[in-house]
Order: sequence, then C-alpha cells, then structure tokens
Amino acid sequence: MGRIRSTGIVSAGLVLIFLTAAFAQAQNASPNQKQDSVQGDRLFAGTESFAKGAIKSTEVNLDKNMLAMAGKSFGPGGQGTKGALADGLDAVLVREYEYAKPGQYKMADVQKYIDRLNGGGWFHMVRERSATENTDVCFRGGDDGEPREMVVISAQPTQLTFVHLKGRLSMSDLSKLSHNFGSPQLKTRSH
Amino acid sequence: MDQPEMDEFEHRLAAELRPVSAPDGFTARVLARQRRGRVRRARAWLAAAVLLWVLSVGAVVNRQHRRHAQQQAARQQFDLAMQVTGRTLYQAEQAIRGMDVTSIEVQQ
Repeated sequence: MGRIRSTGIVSAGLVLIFLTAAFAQAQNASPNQKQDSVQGDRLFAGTESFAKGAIKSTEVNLDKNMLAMAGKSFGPGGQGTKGALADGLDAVLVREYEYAKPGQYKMADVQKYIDRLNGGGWFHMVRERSATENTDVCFRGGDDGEPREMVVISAQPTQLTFVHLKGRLSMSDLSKLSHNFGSPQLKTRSH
Repeated sequence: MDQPEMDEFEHRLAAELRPVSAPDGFTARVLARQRRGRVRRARAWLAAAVLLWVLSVGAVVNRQHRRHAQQQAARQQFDLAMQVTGRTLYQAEQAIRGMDVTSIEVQQ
C-alpha cells in the first residue's frame, strides 16, 4: 500500500516536472523564428564611421525577433501606431550622429550612401537639397507594389541621420509617425 | 565418541534447537520498522520531486523575467528608432516647407 502511494507521488511529481518543462518550452518558443537580421544590412554598412567626432551617437538595430518582442510589449493587438508598425516591420536600422559644430563629416561620404539608392528598385519620393541640408526619402516596393522598404538619409550641418525600415509599411502609419513621434510639442516629458 | 557421549550431545543439541517463541511485540516492531522504511523512502521521493518542481518553476519564472526584460529593452530601442525616424521625416517635411529650399523633387 505504502509502495503504491509513494510510486503515485513520484509519478505525480514527474508529470508536474514534465508539464513545467513543456510550459517552459512553450514560453521559450519565439512567435516568429524568422531571421531577418539587420546585421546583414549592406545599404548602410560602414555608416558607423560617422560616429567619429560626434558628440552623440544613436545606433539601433532591430531584427524580426526583436520587433516581435517590442510588439508584444504593446499588449495584445498592439498599441495604435506603434504596435501596428512593430508588427508589420521585419527590420529597423537607425543611425543618428550629432556634432558640436558643422563640418565634422564630409558630404561626399554621405553621397556614397545616397548613390546606392539610384536603381535597385528604389524610387526617390523626396529629394530635398538646400544650402545647408540634404534629405532623401526613398521607397522600394514588393511584388504586390506595396512599399516594403523605406530609407531616409538626412544630412544637416550638425546632424546626420540614416533610417532603413523593412517590412509592411503603411503610409498612414508613417504619416502618424512623423507627426506623433517627430513633432516636438507632442513629446512626452518623463518625470 | 562412545554411546553415552553421543546421547549427551544429541540431548544438548535437541535442547539448543528447541523452538523458542519470539519476544513480546517482536512482530509488531519488525512491521513497524518496515513501515517506517517505506514512509522514509516515500518522503525522500516526495522531497526530490518537490525540489525538482520548485527548480523547474524557478527556471520558468527566471526565463519569464528575462523575457520581460528583453521585451522592455526591445520596446525602448523600437521607441527610440521610431522617434528618430519620425523626427527626421518631420524635419524633412518642415524643410520642404521652408524658404531656403532650392530644389524639391517629389515622385509618385
């Protein structure tokens, strides 16, 4: 009788362990194991060299798995524009460098990256040239004709920005992005 | 060994081998000891199972905690990336509207 009872307890323990391990495995499984790494981003390879002399550098690399994790943090169904963007994007690469004074980088070096956007299915939606600033906004579509990639290169006297977004890009989300994330007066103040 | 010695030996042997009844409570003590051994083994198994279960739960909780931290880090990076992207698009829009723009090409 006692042996039967102890065997039952051990069996129950083993079942619990098995269930716990299965649960852990399920937790560990990524929602999307697709590896669409931005590490292999050739478009902006080498832009890190612009960090030399910069007083502030911002470099962000997000692949599909990271974006899935970010999307999850917005809760089920995403959180408005951010959630929708995180769910739709496959890769994000951002490089931003701020300089103390103008002339810290050569425009010719930036032009090399702009030249890469000539051809290859890219079309310039915006090519803005002024005495002090250059901005290029380019898109590349998928087979269905919808935009699947966006590149922004902004060269200002004391600020240089490279943005490369890959994935499903909704123009309305990008518009909201510009006005919600970019508009200075809408920035939230952290306490 | 002569006959009387033989008889004496057999007599002593028979005396030594006579059935002796167990002391009082002997059977009960043996059974109780056996029962205690089983209980001890069952407890040991239970303790091992509980320990393994606790370790497994701890591992799951730890994994979830790390996953949450990774999610938050990814979200911060994503927010930063979107902030830079949004600001750059906004600046581009403002620059296009500005007076110092010398040329603009907009293609559909």
